[in-house]
Amino acid sequence: MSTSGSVSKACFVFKPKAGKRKKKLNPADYFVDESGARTEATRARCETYQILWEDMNKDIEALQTDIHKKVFDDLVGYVGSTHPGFCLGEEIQHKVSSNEIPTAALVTGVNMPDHGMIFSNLTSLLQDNITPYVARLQAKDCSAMKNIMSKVIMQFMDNKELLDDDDDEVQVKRISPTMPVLCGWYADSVKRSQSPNKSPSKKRKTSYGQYPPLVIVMEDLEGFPAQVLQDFIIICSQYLSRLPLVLVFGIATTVTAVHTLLPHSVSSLLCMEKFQAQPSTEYLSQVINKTLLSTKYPFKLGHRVFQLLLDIFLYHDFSVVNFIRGLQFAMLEHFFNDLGMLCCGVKLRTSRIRAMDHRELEAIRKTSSFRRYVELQKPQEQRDLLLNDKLTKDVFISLLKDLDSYHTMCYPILHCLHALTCGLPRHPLGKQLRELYSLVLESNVWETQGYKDAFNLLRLMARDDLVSVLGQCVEKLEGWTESDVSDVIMEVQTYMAQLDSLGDGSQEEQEEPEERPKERLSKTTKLHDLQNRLRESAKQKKKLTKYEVLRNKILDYLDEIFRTHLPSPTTLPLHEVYYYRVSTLRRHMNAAPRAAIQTALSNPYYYLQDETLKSEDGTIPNTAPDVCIAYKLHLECGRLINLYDWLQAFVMLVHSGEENDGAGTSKQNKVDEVLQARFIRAVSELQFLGFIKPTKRKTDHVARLTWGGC
Amino acid sequence: MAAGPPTVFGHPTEQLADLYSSCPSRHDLVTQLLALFGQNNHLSCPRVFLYGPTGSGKSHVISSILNTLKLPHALVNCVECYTSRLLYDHILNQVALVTPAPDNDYTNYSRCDNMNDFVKTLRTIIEDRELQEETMYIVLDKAERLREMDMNILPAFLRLGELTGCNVCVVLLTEIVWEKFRAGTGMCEPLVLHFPDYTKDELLEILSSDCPTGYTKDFYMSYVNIVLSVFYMACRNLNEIRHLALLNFPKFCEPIKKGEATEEDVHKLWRNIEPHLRKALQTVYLREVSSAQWERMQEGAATQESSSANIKTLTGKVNMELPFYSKFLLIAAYLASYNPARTDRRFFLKHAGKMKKTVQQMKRDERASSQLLGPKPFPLDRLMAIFYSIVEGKVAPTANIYSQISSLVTLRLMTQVGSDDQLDGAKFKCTVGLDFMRSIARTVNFDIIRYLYDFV
Amino acid sequence: MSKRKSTGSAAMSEGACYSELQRVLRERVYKISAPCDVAGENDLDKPRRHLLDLIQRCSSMGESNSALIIGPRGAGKTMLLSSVLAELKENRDFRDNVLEVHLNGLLQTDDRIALKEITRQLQLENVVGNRVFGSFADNLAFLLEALKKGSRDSQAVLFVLEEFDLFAHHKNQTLLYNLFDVAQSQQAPITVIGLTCRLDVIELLEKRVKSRFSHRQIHLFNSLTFDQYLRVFRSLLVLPAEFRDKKFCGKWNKHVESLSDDPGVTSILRKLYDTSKDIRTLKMFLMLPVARICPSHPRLEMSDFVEAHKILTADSKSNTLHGLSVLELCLVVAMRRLSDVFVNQPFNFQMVYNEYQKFVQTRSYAVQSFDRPVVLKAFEHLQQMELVRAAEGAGIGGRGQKEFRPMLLMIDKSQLMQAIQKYPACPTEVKHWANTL
Repeated sequence: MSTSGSVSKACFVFKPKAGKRKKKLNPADYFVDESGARTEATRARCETYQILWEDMNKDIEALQTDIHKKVFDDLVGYVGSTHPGFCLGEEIQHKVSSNEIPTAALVTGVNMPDHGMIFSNLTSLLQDNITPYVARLQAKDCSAMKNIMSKVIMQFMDNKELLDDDDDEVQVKRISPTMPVLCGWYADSVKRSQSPNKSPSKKRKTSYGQYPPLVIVMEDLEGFPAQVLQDFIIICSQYLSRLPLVLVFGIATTVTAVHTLLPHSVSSLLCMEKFQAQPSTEYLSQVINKTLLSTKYPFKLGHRVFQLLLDIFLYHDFSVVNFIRGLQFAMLEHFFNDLGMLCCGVKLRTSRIRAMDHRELEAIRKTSSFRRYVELQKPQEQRDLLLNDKLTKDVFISLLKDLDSYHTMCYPILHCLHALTCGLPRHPLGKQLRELYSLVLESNVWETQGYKDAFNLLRLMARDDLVSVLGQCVEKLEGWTESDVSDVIMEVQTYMAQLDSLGDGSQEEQEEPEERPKERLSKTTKLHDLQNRLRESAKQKKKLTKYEVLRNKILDYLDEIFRTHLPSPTTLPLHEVYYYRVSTLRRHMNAAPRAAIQTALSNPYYYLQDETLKSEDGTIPNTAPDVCIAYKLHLECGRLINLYDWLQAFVMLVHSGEENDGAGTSKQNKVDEVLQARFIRAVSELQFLGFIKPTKRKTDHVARLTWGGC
Repeated sequence: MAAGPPTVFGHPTEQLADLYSSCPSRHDLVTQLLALFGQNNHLSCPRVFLYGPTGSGKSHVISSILNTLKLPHALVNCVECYTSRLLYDHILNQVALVTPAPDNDYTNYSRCDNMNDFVKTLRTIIEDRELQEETMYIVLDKAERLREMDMNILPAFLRLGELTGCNVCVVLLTEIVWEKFRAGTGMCEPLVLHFPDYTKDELLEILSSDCPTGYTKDFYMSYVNIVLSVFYMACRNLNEIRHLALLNFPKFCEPIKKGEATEEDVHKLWRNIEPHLRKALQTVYLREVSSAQWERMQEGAATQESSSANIKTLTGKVNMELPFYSKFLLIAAYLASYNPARTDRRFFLKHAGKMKKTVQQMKRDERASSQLLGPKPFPLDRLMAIFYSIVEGKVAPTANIYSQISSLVTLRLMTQVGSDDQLDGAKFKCTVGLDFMRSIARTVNFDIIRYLYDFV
Repeated sequence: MSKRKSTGSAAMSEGACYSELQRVLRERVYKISAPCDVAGENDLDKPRRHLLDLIQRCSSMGESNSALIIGPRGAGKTMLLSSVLAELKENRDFRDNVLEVHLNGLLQTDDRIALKEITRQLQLENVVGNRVFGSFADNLAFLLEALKKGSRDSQAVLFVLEEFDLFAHHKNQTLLYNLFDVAQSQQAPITVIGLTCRLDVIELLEKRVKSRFSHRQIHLFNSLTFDQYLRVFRSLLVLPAEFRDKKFCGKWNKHVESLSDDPGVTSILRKLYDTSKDIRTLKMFLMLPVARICPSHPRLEMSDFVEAHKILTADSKSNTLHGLSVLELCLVVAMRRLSDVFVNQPFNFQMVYNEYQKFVQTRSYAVQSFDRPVVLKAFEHLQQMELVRAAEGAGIGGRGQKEFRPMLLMIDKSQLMQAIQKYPACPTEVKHWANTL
C-alpha cells in the first residue's frame, strides 16, 4: 500500500511533458532484429515509423489547438475587453467597480495530464493577440506570499527583457518583489512601447493596445493554499488603478472550488466570467477520427489494443495525452516486428515487397491470416503460394491493395451505420462511434446481437424518422469523395426521393404501422394478448403498406452495403501488416508495480528464468536471492517480526542445501558474519521496498506492512 | 456640532467642499477627523483607530481627506506587508516620495530592517523634507495584520509620535474592535472612532450617485429603492448592493427599451424586475456572474425556470465528469470518512445481519452524526478495501489506480491529513458534500444512502 | 517640538488667537507625556526629590546608581523623569557633565541594536569605526573608556530605559547585566534608570542581574483625589499668562473656570474619574472637545463633553453587531443557542446551518431563507470580524473543510440582546427567536 504515495506521484509528475520526452530518446537504437543486430530492414522500419509518427503527431497537435478554439477565442476576447477605460496618470479618478479584478474562470476537465498543454496553448494565444505580459502560476511553487509575488514579478520582468532586447540588464534577483516595483516597471515599459524609436525587432508589439493587460494564469486553482490566494487577490485589487491586471483561474473541478477557497470579502473583489473547456472525451473522439479512422495512415490498432487504450482513458484518467502515448507506443511495437516493414504507402510498399528475400517472405507466409487464405485456394495454387516467391509477391501486393480499398470504403460506411443507429433507443450499437468501431474490429458486425436489434428497431421506424436518419447518413457520407461512396449516396438519395414521392397516397395506411410499433412495445403483459398480437402481426405481414415495402427495401440495401463493406479486418488476409494486435501492451500501459514486485520476490524464476530457481509447491530453493528468501520467511510472520528468529530461519534455509555435511547444526549457535551481513542487506532491501518498517513498540522487532497478495 | 466655517482648519474652502461631496453621508465623521487633525502646523491627534464593517468607507474617507487636502502621508495596506521589512519599506518610500522605477533600478529609499532604524530614518526624512512643522500622516489599512507581526511593532506604531519626536499621526483602519488589539506591553490607547454601517437612506443617497447616463436620477432612485427593499435584509454591504444594482439595472429598463412601459409606471417595472431580484437574492454574495454574462443569461432565459437553471449551472452544481474508477474511489473515500470503521463489516460483508439502532444509539448519533461533525481520516488500506468491495468486476491494483488517488488529492476532493511517515501512516479525508456525492453515485447507479451509517 | 513659528503682534486677529489657543492646548492634550504641572501633588514630591538627588549625585560626585520607576500606565513616570531632567538641565555644569542615553524597549529589540544605538547617542561611531569586539562587555567598556578621554575627568552617563521589562526579554539580558555591573562596580559613573509599568519586573531579572541591581524602586500610583483631578483638568485647559493676546486669554481662562464649576461637566468628569483616575484617559477625553474649538465654536459646550464621553465609553461589540445583516444576525443567534446547548463546546458551520434551517422552516413565511453557499459566506464574514474564532487545535488553513472546523462564539447573551434591541428594522421573528434563548 505504502508505495502508492510515491508511485502515484511519480506517474503524476511526469505525465504532462511525457509527449515530448518520448521523441527525445532515439527510437533507432530500439530497432534491432532478433539477433540484436541493426540491419537494413530495421533501419527502413525505423524510418517509416518516424515519418509516420511525425505526420500523425502534426495532425494531432493541429487538432489540439482547434479543439479548444471556441472557448479560447471567447476567453481571449474577454481578456482583451477588460480594462477598457484604463489609463495611467491620474490615480484618484477611477470608477467605483474598478476594485473588482476581471477574472476568467476556465473550467478544464479533471484530466490533469492534458492541462499543461491547454495552458501553454492559451498562453501563446494570449501573447500573440492581446498582451506580451502573461505569468503562469502553479500551486506547487506558491506555498507562501513571498514565492507567489516573486514568481509573478520575475515572469513579468523577464518578459520585458526578452521583449525588447535592450542593453539595460535588470537583475531581477536583487529587486524586492513588491507591487510598487511592478507598477514602476509597467509604467516604464508602456512608455517605451509608445516611444517612437522602435527597433524593427518589436513589430508584433505594435499590435497590442496602448495598455496591454497583465494576465496572471493560475493553472490549478484547487491546489493553492487559501490564505496565500486571498492575500494575493486583495493586493492585486489594491493596484488595479495602476496595473490592468487580469486573472485566469484554471479550475479542474467546479466553480464552487473558488468559494471553498475564498471568503466573501475576497470573492467580492473578483468579477468572474466562466468558460467551459471542451470535455476531453470530445477531444478523444476527434483524435480517433483523425488518426485511426482515416486512410491517411496505414497503421491501425487491433481490437484488444484499441479497447485497452479506451479503457485506460475511460476508467482511469480522461487524459488524451496518455491515449496518444499509448498509440505511439503501440506503433513503435508494431514496427518492431518484420511486418511493420510493409506498413507504409503503396509505392514504397510495392518496391519493398519486390526487394524481399526468401526469409522475409517466409516470415509473412507464416501469418495466420495468410495461411487461412492459402487454405481456401485450390491445391495447385496453394503449392505455388508456398513455394513460388515471385507469385507470392504479386499476391501480396494485390492482397494489400484489397486491404487499402477495404479501408477506403470501410470508414464512410462505418460513419453511415453509426449515423443510422446512434439515435436508436438503448443504443444497440453504442452511442459513440468508437464503440461501434471496436465492435467492427472485434468481429463481423452483422453477426453481433446489437446489429440485429438495431435493424429490428429500424424496421419499425416511422417514415419521417427514417427520412431524417437517412439524411444524416448522406451528410456523413458526403464527407468522402471516393466514387463508390458517391454511388451509395446516389442510391440512398433515390430511396429518399421515393419516400417523399409516396407522399399522401400512403398516408392513411401508414398511420397504422406508425402506431403498431408503439403497441408492440407497450403491451407485452398477458399471454393471450401476446398470442392475438402475434396473430395480428401475422395478418399484418400479409398486406404490407407501400411504405413498409419501401422501408424494407431500403434497409435490405443498407444491410447489404454493411455486409460487403464492414467485415471485421481480422477476417482479411494479411491484416497483420496494418493491425497491431499484440496485447502485451497492457503490461506496459497499465503497470501493476506491486504485483510485479511480489511475483519477483515470491517466484524469482518468473523473471530470472534460471532453471535452478524452479520451485514446486512454493517452497524456496536456497539458491534463491537472499531478499526472496527473507520475503518468503516474513510472509509467515505476524504483525511484528522478531529479527533474531528471522535470522535463524534465514540461516537454516540457506544451509538447508548442504545440510548433509553437518555444517548447519554446528553453525546454529553462532552465525557467521557473512550470512548475517547478507541477511541484514536483505532486510534493508525489504524495508526499502516498503514491506517492513522499524518499530519502537518492541525491541529487535520490525513491523510488517503488507497483508495478503494482490 | 456642525462643522463651523471650515477655514479655521486652515484648509481652503473649495477643497473642503469637494471633500465633503466626495464622501456622501459621512459628514460628521469627516468633520471629527478634520478637527482631530487640525491645521497641518498643529500637533494632531497622535493615534486614531477607525473601525467599522467593510464598505463603510473607512479607507475612502481617509484617503480622500489626505489626497484632496494634499497632506503629507503614507497609506499602506498591511496585507501587502507579509514581512515587517516590507512594511517599513512601503512607509519610508511613500514618505520620502520615492517610487521604485527603472532609473533608480527598483531600489527602496533605504534598507531598514528593524524598528530602531525605521524610526531614525523616518526622522531624517521628515527633517530633509522640512516637514517638522507639518503633520505626517501614516495610515495603516487592515491593521489587524499588525498583530501577527513582531510583538513590538503595533505598540511602537501607536507611540510613533513620541518615539520620533516628530508630529506624526498614525491612523489604523480595521474591521475588528480595538479590544482584540490589546496584547503585550507598551500599548498606548488610541482614540477609537466607529464607522457605523450606512442606513437605508444613506445607501440610497450613495447609490443614486452612480446613476447611469440616459436616465433621470429619480428614475434610478426608484429602481434603487426596489433593489434595497429586496436586498437590505440580506446584506448591507455597500459594494455588494451596488454590484447587484448595476447588475440588474438593464433588466429593469428592458420594458422601457421595448417600449412596453414608460419611466412613470413603476408598478409594471416592479412586477417585471421583482422575480429576477428574488433569484439574484439566492446568489447574493456569490460573485459568479460578471454583469456581462448575467445579461446574456437573462437574454437566454425566456422563462424563469430556465434562467434559474442557468444560475444553478453557474454555481457549478452541475455534475462533474470523473473517470469510472475515480468515481468509485471517491465513493469509497466518502464512505470511509463518514462511516465508523466498526460498521464496515455490516455494510460490506455478504449476509451480515441487518443493522438495528437502539433508541439511545439514535440519541447519541443525533448529537454526533458524522454528517454534522464532518469526515474522519482513514488509512489507505481501508479505502482500498471498501473500493474493492463496491466496485464490480476485478480491478488490478495498478499504478493507474494509485495515481488516481493522488489526483483526487490534488483536485482537493480528498485531502491527505498530516502523516510523518509515508510508509503506512498516510491518512486521507474526503472533502466533498453529500449531495455532490449522491450525484456522482447516481451516474454509476450506486445507492450511496444505503451504505451510510447516519441514514440507517 | 515645542518651538512654533510665532504669529503676528500682541493684538491678534480672532482666527490667529484660536489657532494659537489650539497650538497651546494640543501641546498639552495630544502628548501623553507632556509635563502638565500637577502642582501641590505632594505625593509626587517625594519620589521627585529622590530621583533628583540620585541623578545629581552621579553628575556632581561621579557616583554610579541604578533605579527603577514603577507605576501603571499614565501614572506620570516619563513626565516625572522629564520634569526632573528639565530642572537639572538648568544648571550649566550638569549639562556639559552628563550625557543622556535614551533607550526604549520597543525600539531596541535586541542588544546588538541597543549597543549601536548607544554608540550613536554618545556620538562615538567614528571612534569605534569598524572595530570588532570579543564580547558585549568589552564593547561597552570601550565606549565608557572613550568617554573618559577627551574630557578632563570621566563624564557621567545617564541611561534611561523605557519599557524596561522588554529589555529583560533579551537574550541572557546581556545589556542589563553589563549596565548594572558597571554601575555597581563603579567602573565609570553611570546612572541607570528604568521605567516600567510591570510591578513584578524584578522577578523578570535573572539572578546574576538582580544581584547587581541596587534595589532602588520608585513607585508611582494614580492616586489623585477628585479635586486634584479637577485641578488637572483645569490646568490642561487654562492659557498660560505669557499668552500674547491678554484680553482673549483672560476671557478664555474665565470660561475654563466656569466650566470646572458647571455641575454637568463635573458630573461627567466624576463618571470618568470613577472609571479610571488615569490622566491619559482625561486627555483622551479632552481631545475632541479641544479640537472643536474655533471662532464659530468659541467655547467648550456641554454637548462636546457628552459626545466625547459617549465615544470614549461606546461598546464596540454591539457597534459591530449593529453592522451585521439580518442573515448574519440570525447566524449569531443560532450559534448562541448552540453554545448554550452544549455548554460552550465548540460547534461547526454545519451545526449552525442546521439550527438556522430549523428556524427558517418554522418561520418561513416571514424570513427569507438562503442557500448553503450564501450562508457559508455570511458565516465566514462573522469569522473575519472575529465574532467567531476557531477553537484551539482546529486545523488552520485551507486543508480541513471549513464547514467542519470547530468554532467558538465570542459574544455573550447580554451583548446579543442589547444589539438586537438596538438593531434597525429587526424582523420580529428573529427577536422572538432570540428571546427564546
